[in-house]
Amino acid sequence: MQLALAIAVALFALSVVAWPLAIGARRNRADTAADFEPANTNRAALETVYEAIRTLQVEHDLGRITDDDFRAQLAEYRHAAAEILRGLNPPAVNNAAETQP
Amino acid sequence: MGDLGATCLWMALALAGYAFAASVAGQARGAPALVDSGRKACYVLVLVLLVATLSLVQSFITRDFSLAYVAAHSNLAMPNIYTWVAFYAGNEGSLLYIAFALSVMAAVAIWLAPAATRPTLAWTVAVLMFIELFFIAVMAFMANPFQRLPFAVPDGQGINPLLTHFGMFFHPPALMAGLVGISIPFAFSLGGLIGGRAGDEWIDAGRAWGVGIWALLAAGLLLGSWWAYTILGWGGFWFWDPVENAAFMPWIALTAFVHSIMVQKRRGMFRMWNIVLIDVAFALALYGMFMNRGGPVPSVHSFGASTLGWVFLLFLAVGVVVPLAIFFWRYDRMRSAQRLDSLLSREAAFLLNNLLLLGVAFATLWGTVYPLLSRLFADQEITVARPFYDQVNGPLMLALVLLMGVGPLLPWRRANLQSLRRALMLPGSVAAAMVVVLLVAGIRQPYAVIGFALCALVATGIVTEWVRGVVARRRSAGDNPAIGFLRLIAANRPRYGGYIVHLAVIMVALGVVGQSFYGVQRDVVLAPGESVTVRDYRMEYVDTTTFAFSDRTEFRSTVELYRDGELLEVMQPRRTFHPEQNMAATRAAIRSTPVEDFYVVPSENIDGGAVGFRVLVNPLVWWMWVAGAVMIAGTVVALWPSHVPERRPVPAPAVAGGGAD
Repeated sequence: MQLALAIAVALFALSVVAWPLAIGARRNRADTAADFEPANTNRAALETVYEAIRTLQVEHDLGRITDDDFRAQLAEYRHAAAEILRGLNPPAVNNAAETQP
Repeated sequence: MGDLGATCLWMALALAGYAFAASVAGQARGAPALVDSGRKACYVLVLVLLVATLSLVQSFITRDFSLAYVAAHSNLAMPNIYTWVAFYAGNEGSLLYIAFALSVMAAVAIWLAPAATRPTLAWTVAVLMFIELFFIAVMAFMANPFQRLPFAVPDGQGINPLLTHFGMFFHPPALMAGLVGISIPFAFSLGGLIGGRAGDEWIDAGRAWGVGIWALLAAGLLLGSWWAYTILGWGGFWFWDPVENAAFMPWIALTAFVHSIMVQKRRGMFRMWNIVLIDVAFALALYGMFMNRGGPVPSVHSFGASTLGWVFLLFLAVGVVVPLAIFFWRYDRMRSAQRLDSLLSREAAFLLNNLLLLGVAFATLWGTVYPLLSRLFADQEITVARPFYDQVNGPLMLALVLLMGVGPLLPWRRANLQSLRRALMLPGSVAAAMVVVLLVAGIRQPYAVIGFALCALVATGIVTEWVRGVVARRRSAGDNPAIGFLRLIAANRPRYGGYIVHLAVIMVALGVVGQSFYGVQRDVVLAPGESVTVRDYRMEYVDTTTFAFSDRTEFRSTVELYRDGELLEVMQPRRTFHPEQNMAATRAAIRSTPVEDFYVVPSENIDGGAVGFRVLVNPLVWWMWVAGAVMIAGTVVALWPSHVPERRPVPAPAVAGGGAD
């Protein structure tokens, strides 16, 4: 009984580990390509900036920072967000212009 | 089931080794199939170690005394309910538990790894599997829980009686999982560094796992304190025992880390510092494991017969030197994106908080290793005890509580004195009023007065923050107070979850200050019918009944507790003798209220029915145990994922040029 269980566990482990090798590298490369997408990092950075803006608003609402500081910091955060957005959405090619004679 | 367990152990060794090698080779040679295969090996490792774990548990249930480990930690008289405790009661079983817990956490961490960490995830897997490989190899070659005896003995030696306590179901597993769990944020940081991504990619995973593991360790430490309080019979909850310290130090370092990582997330600062902090926490966790597995200082917690100290010392050396070398290798890639704008800011408060916490950690480390150093260099062992820790850590802790009150009131980047003064007005006034009330009530001990006043400052600061937040929401969004409060918390869970945890810390502080400065202890011998008065309680000893069990003899004393002539409770503290282990154990009877605990434990049974009792009145200790639940609740709030971030319209700056986008 114990031997049978041990063999079953070993076979299962072996098949799971060997599966990616058996199906080949190409599919794996396709699977992981999205992981290397820099846009993922940019989206996280954008969310961090949005969160910073929300906190800034709360701190301003609570009277923790002066109006001048609020405006200056908000401008910096908005600028940072714009930079990230530019990275996420590069200027689109004008297809209409290309197809016109 | 021992053979199945032993086979699975060797399979686990092969799988962890393969996962490590495949991840390194796959990443180095650019072979995604190999990397994926290594990752899958991590997942399968969970199943294999689960089968090994269940095999050992089953061996305990069937009392398979042909296994040396089962024979050493159970016997026929042991109730089945303690099977789970017996499983990790010794060195070998606890190593299996640690390996299994790490495999589960590693698999979950890899499965849920944020996209930003994927490019270097193979290195993270390699780091985790290297650590896993160490534990499994130690088990397989030096401390195998499935090792057979030459012949099966008719009965085992039995479980340590001190472990037959409800707290033991959670305290050791929480602490062991917490200590080894520090490997997860550590592996994300080290994996990122090895892969050349030394920026902010790892911080979401690092923060989430750091906070979770922090809560696990906090729960483990609190449960351990509760266990010590109820079973060790000396009436306290913290002894500054070397192994207690060994769990306390990484927790303190992790506390610094979970604060500091917020600064990196928000401002892109402290990149190097956070890596140093998680490395320090990991090294201290390894030091803790070294201490209770053959470390040089004896302790009530350590596995006395273990000879594995040198292996863990070697691993500790590797765990310090390798991350340090990689840190210097990648030094130039870790520069922070921002600098500290002002010393009067949230970031600066976090930095000071970190320095104070590290001060506590290193003072505790110094106290722990001082007996060794004195034996080594001065030829005499000088033991460091509670007065040292009180004198050094006490003021540091008070400064931390003060910072806990002031820090959250500071905005990010820079504050001005006027707004800080305004924010501190109410909490400061309440703290001052508290001082007056305490002095009028006759409480004059300076540390206690300062401690209680600081607790009032922090609690008021948090409540004020909530009230102001709700009022601001009402003004801007028209929310009613209840909805506004919930939305306030939902809008920034890490912040408000952190405040809930701060409240829990204040509860712990109340218990520590109350018990330390205003606890009363009396040791008395009472004959039946005699009584003793402690504070405004009168305890009358009725009698002692002896119960004979197959594994122990129990002396159950009955006492009646009165206050102002009114019977409050009939209590039954007890003392047991375990002939198999030649060991006595006690179980205190405690009447616990938010104001104070009445605590009684029999220390000695004397001929003629007289009993020696230790009686204590410990103020405010109740709050410490409640704090555990509050701490967990705060952690859950802080970690709760916010899939749909709340959006509020961003007002356009009124000055020209403000709208940069």
